[in-house]
Amino acid sequence: MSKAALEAIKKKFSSELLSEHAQHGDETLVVKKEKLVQIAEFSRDDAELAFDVLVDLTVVDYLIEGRTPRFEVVLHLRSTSKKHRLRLKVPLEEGAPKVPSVVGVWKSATWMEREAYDMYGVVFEGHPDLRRILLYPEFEGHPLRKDYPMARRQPLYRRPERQGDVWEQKHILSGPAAGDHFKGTYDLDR
Amino acid sequence: MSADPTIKLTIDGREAQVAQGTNLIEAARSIGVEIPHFCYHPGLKVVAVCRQCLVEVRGWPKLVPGCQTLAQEGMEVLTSSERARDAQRQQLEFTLLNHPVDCPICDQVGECDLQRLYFDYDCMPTRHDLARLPGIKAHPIGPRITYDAERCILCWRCIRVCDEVAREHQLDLKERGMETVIATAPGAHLDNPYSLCTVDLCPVGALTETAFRFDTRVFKLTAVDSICPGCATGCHIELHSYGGVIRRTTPRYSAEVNRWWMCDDGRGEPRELQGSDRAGRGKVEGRPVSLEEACVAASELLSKHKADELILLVSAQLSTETLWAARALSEALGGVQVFGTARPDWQADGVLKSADRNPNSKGLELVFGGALAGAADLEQRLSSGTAKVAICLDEKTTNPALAESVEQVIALVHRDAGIAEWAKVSLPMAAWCEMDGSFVNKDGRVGRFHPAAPAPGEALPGWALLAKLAIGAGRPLDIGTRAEDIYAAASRALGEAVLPPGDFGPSRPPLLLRFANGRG
Amino acid sequence: MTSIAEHLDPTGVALPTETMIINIGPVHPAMHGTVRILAALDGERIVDADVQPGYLHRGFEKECENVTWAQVFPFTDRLNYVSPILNNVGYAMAVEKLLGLKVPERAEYIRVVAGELARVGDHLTCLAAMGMELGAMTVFLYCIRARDRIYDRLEELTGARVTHAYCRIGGVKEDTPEGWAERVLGDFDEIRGALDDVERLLLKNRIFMDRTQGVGVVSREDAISWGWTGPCGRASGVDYDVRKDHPYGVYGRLDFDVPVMDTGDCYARFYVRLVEMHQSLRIIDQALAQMQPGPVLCEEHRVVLPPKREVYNTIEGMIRHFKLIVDGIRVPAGEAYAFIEGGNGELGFYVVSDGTGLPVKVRCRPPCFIIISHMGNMIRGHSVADIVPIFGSLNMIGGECDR
Repeated sequence: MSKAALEAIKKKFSSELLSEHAQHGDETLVVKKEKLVQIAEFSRDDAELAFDVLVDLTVVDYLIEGRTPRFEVVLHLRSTSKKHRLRLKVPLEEGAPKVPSVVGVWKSATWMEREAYDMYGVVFEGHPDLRRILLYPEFEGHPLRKDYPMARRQPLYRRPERQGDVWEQKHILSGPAAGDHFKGTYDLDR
Repeated sequence: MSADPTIKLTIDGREAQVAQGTNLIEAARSIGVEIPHFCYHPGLKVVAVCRQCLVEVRGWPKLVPGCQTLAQEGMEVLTSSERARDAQRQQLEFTLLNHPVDCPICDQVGECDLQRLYFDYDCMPTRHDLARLPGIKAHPIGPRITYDAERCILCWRCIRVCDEVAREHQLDLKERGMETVIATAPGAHLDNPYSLCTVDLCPVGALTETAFRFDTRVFKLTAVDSICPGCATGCHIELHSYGGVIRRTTPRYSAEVNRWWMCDDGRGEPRELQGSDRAGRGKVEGRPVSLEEACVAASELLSKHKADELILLVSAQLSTETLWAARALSEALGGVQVFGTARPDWQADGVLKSADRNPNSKGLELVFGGALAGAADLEQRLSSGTAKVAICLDEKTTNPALAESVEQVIALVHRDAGIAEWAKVSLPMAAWCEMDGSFVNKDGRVGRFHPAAPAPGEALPGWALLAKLAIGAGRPLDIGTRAEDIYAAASRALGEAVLPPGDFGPSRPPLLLRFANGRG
Repeated sequence: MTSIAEHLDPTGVALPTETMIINIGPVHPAMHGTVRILAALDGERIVDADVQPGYLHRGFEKECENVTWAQVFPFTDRLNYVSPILNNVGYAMAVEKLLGLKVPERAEYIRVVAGELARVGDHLTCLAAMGMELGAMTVFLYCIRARDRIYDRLEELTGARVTHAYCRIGGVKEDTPEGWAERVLGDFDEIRGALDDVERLLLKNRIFMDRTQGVGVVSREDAISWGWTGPCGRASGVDYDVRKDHPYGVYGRLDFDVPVMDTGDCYARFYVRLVEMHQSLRIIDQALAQMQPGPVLCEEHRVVLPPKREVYNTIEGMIRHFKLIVDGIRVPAGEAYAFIEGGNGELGFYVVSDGTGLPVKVRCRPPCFIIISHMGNMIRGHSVADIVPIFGSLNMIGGECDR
């Protein structure tokens, strides 16, 4: 990645920048969460940066290391035209971790943010459809948090009082088809 | 830093400031640099026999042992220069020359200093293909300890532990040169009350605890901080468990209480608790029932009687939290008379053992103060015949008169034997190693312990059982639902100087020895 | 596209219809992966769809955080279980990046050869399944027969047909067996034959073309925004192949082409995979020719297990072995992201270490999870029957998607 491009983003968001490093050649910027969407949009739209692909989005829990803030959202960016990469990290406080969603910037964040929410309980504000993805809606807790015990087991069942998620609300529970004829199929639900 | 004159020196290019009289190993440790060593131990005299801690001092012609060399003003120490590294490597190579390939059957693996230092400081393959010298194996050197001469690296730590901690010269070196072995001194046996400290300090698997031999691989153990319940000293200990069973007890460093040591008797405490007769269910008139049912029966008894028909027996073996709950219960029921009991004294030895065999005598005194009646009062009350129902939280020191003079006894017990066999109602109580809590030792120091094993069956901590009884009797206690809450309440009521709130901090998560760097 | 109602009623007065919800999966004969699709239908047209993965979730990351660095390899095998070697390589590269370790050249070549064999196996499976789901059973049999030859070779190399756990941090488990390279080259005829057969059977086949051309079209912009990589991305005109753009291992010394198409439909995805297999065979050919004898594991004593002869006979070897197994390889604290071209695209591993033998985090960037995330939009507007070629051409691998 060119020095000038990196300097440009650092300069533009200097007040948001917490730290940076280039360990093992991976350029990394640690930024505050407040302007994450602006930083994301800038890094996508700036001609020198042109990070048009969100390669990966995940969360790391540093509970055991005792680091504060406890969580860190990690975004890996790639530019198709410039062929360079950047890692953005956003520290998040314990408690109810919240971070602005970047779905509006990169569509690929849709499922990755859902997965991060599912596994770590990080809420992505502004995500259009934030619900569990790999686990079932009744699952309690967020398994990749370090305080979720490895040996914990949860029975797989459907809570009878469960309210439908966005999709179900739209098509099943409120639509004209909210009759009984497909309920049989639908109750095959996990 | 204290008032001692301090000196400045550089270690590996970093500046360190230490007190006069500090040796290089400690000086390096103070800035986070490790100098490898076997024979040196901060609690023992320096002998400088292992030669593992050789370091380079700029300007000095020869390498010097870090344990014996005292820090001097302006000294420039190099612990990882080419020469020092070379010396460390060579020394490890010598130490391993005749070491048997015993790791798969050795009890020390996982916490072996030799393994760790070889891996960190040498890690080169052997350069010889000769037969190794055989030695004595599995020799019972004392009633509790097994000796293996092949594994021994002759660091003399065990000799010094006997001499300096137990103050008995029981071990010595025998023969010379390649044939040197550790042996008992003429006319002596390795049977002093601190003999197991030699096992703790043995850097290799030469001395192993006979009872723990081949019991569990050390790296599978989980360590939990605890306090020894053996006497009023309240030694800081670690309980090591695997598969829900406590496998062994080791001392934990505490500058004020027990330093690195503990007595052999204290190590047997958790083992004493384990057995098939641990109470896991409630009993009503000898019939096993669920805890709920037993609690209902007990609460009924309590609500049927007036306060002056009840007595409450507590002991100095209980945690501060249980004692506080007992006090709350006696008040909630309208001023029940409380009697304190204790295990009989034994002989103090001037090292660690106190004459008082109860871990929480001080706590008992703090919680009840003058309101507590003693053994003589108990006899008087029992003979007067006014006590109809007794709540007994102490199975070890039960007064035999209890069975005859009180109509009904509600016993909170660890075991299904003894008092549980004839009590009207018995409730299963978790032992100290199965719950959160604290003891106050004879100097008033609060020691915090954590659960190291699951309580059997439905057993609950004493304070939880008392709270249940109070709810059943329609007089709920306002003490909270966690040990922390109760301690905080007691601390507020008794004064923060006596029970400092900070001493009951958040519980440290259990430590898996396997990945405890440097330990395993 | 005209709605069914308009077809039925050319006067334009729509018949009263209501959307119907059907549930497809998680287990369905026409879907090669356990995924559930809830589709809202207007007649046979899908108006909305909710794709729900997760039926094969096994907590890959949680498992990894509770074992030593070296013990992660068997778990990676079970990510994309059609090309496990590639997962092995990706993970090994991430840890080697943290350790700053250089892998011996021969090991790099073996990784390339085994990895490309796995890629051919992966693509063959995809084509086979896609063909079969569209009714071409013959294609399935031809492809699977060729894939079996690859499995035979990989079994000779690693000792296992599917879950190889062959890579090690710092190299590979062992050297190739005697005469292995010749046998691999000897299989080329059969594999190429199968590819030619598939080409002749399907590429000009009217039925196949009608079912796949213009179906499930993804524009280049969408492909980029949805993070598509690999054959699916290249079929949509995203000219990105990790082997070419960020050459890792010895790919820089090998000559191969990256097929790119711009139609972005199922046909293109099928065709790109077919061409890629020929390129993979080319790579294997060159790599086997360039490979020189040498060690296959690096010499770093604190990373690589000692030979068994030393372990059983010397205390030094015993301790080393013991520490490496029980304490695990101590990886310096830090974070690294390493990525390779997997069967479905960029397969990345983001690893975080705190300096102990246990990983803090091992994140797998699963290419097909990210590709499938766009599937709900792709099938919208298509008929139910089109789900089959679309889903087939995306090559969802449950193990990797759900982890």
